[in-house]
Amino acid sequence: MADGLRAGTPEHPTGHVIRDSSLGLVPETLPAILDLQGAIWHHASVGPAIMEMLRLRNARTVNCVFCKSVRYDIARADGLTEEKVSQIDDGYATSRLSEREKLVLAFADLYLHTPDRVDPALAEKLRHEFTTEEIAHMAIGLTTFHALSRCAVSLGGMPESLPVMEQSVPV
Amino acid sequence: MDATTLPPLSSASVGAVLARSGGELARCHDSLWAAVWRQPHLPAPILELCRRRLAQLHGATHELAASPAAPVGTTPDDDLPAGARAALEFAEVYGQDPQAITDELAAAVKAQFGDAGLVALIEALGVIDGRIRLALMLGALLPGEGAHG
Repeated sequence: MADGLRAGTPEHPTGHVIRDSSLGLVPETLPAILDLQGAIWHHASVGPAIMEMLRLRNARTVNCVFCKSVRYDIARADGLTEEKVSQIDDGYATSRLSEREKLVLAFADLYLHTPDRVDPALAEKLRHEFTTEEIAHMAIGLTTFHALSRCAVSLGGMPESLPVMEQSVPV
Repeated sequence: MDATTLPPLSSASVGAVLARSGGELARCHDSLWAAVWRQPHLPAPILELCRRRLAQLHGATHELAASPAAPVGTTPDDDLPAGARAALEFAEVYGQDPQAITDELAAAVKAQFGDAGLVALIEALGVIDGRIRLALMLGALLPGEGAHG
């Protein structure tokens, strides 16, 4: 077991980053996790750059060092630059991000901080900017990123920092 | 109630709301929801106790009134079996701040359910907590049955 990791990993490594992690100890849920990841990154109506903004806003809020360090290649190819990523902080409302991108981050903050108190003005802006399909897809993406980042934190073994690493979505 | 408003949602009923607009993503999300309840490493009645505790932490009154996802007894918390107590104590901290989880909390779960049980618990808590959050907020953002958009 890696230093500080609270659960072991599968006895027989496969070379797959998720199957070889502690999540591989529960093979009954693994296919559903991988299928969901694939659907989020390849079929979401908002596209990978918006999904990556949701993922990184969540990662910074949960303070998952692993999640914060990753950049998915599919999102960079969709136009998400490091200049934009640098604005996904608490000052995003006054940043140079587009109004649509700011609404994406406000949606993330609603889920992460006050899901029980939806500001009617924000709800109106979200419904005006996004289709119901886009809202559903952002919700599913965000809740998945949130669960997986909290999973990584809960399992322990988190380093204090990591450099930015470009990766492909695990399949 | 007209077609553009939704009744209060719960972690169970929010799946149908997402399914109306979410297509393949919603189907995959529902599959994960079902899988965390069906996995063999941690009994579903223990997860049901955790669901209730997470709902309390969120102040999600409709979630607390919803039908149980798995049958649970009426044992007072003080008399819970050690496994249920360990899982609930873990869920209590998880629900407030996963960064505050200690090795001791994790070890208590592993002593009852093994490493796979701990991982199954963490996965389930994430999915359940997420569905409670979505149930709380999506009523204001997505249309009710029969509406289009």
